Amino acid sequence: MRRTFLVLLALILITSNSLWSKGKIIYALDFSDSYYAAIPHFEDEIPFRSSNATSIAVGLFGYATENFSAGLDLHTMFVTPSIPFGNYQGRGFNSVGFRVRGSYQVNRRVGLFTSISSEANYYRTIKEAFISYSLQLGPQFRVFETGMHTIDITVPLTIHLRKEITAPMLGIGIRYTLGPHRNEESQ
Amino acid sequence: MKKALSLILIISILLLQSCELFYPEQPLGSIHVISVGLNYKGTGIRVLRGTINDTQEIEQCLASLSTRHLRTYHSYSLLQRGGAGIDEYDQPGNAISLPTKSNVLNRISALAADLTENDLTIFNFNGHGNDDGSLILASPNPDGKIILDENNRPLDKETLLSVTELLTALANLPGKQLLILDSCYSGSFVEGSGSSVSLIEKRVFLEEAIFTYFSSTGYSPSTFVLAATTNDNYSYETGDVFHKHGRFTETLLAGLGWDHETNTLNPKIPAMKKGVLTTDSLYAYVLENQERLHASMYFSLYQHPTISGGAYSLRLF
Repeated sequence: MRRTFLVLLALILITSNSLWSKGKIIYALDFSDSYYAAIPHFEDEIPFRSSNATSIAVGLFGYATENFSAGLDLHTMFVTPSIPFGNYQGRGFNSVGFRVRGSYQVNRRVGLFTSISSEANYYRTIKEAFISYSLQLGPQFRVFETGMHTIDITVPLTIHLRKEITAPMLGIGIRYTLGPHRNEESQ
Repeated sequence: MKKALSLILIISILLLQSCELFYPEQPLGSIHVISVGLNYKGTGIRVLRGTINDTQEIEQCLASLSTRHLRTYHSYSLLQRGGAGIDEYDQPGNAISLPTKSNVLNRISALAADLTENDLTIFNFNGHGNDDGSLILASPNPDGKIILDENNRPLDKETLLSVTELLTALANLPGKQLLILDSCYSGSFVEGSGSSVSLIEKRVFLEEAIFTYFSSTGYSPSTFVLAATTNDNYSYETGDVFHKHGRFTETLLAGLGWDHETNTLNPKIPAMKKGVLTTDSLYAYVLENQERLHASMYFSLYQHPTISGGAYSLRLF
């Protein structure tokens, strides 16, 4: 764990130099809130159970070209217990994991993004952990842009793949990117 | 701006489509409680002075909660409480209500005919546990003596109700089941959920969690367990002189709002969250309060309650 942290820190320090040069390394901060529909793979009283999922991600390092960007995010998620219904209630949990994210800017306003990730999840109340995988895609709408800063409104559609549950999530979010988002020389 | 508003509107509509708001919710089913408690007076093994209080008050508390929440309630008690003297066993006339292995298993199987898929069966045990988790029950012999071997294990297997035997008997019942166990090594009843890994007494879990994810074991939320301790530890009684309880059960009763001095249910149920009482909210209450309630007397005696893992918690009220 300590070694991983040191490697990440070193990478950030090395790449941060490019922020002040003409390079294209980017950093990001991402926040989203989603509706979480847990579809069980076992017999249940209803087809799916509803929770709220709040996600915060930090883009540790990414690379951007004119229209494309790709990066590695450290992301966390907080899922509430489900609405009680019948004899059960879905347990709430916290997640932490890494995701690889890519995006394509269709024009100055609209873009598409996708990501794939793996998470370690922790049921808060009962001290149990499980792993999961996620796939995400959606549109992003640029609402603010300067030479070094951009803000996009995102609409992430996520599939959270747990062993006993598959959970589609639909939400709305905001992503701030720090770094030269476009090649200024080409404009 | 219009696009953003449209998206927000679509998402809001999707949120309102959640299953819970549109599916007709059936009322929760009836509650059936099998209470088993032994103090081991006259059996030749160490007497426990809090177990009968535990069993009786859990039964009364669940009855009061059921009445308050308009749930149909049935209870069946199997108690070994001994005679007047410390070495005096129960009267022979009480044999039918003694918690022998056959009486307990017969009581469980007899329930099957009365249950529906929506009903909840609660099996509550207060007594000694063997080091493999087995519950030490009353001897079928009239004198009630339980003979131990050199490792303090009962020689007569008819006094032991094993983890597999009890879980199998309960799994054959329709509906949902909850085991509440206050005995040593009772964590043995908390089997792996097949989907998550317990981090109690564990720091490294990633390898096991990945193995669990790709294993063929499944998860099914029907039998839930709330146990007083882990599978390798003791369960202790409180230090009270006149009115003893198990540490776990006393905290559990407090979480359920039971006042064991007046034997009444308080208006406020501390473990109830937003009007719902689940196994998780009860477990969280016990975890938070057990050490605080008993810290002065039992600071050094480790006892960590355990609970069934997996995606769901069981709703009680």
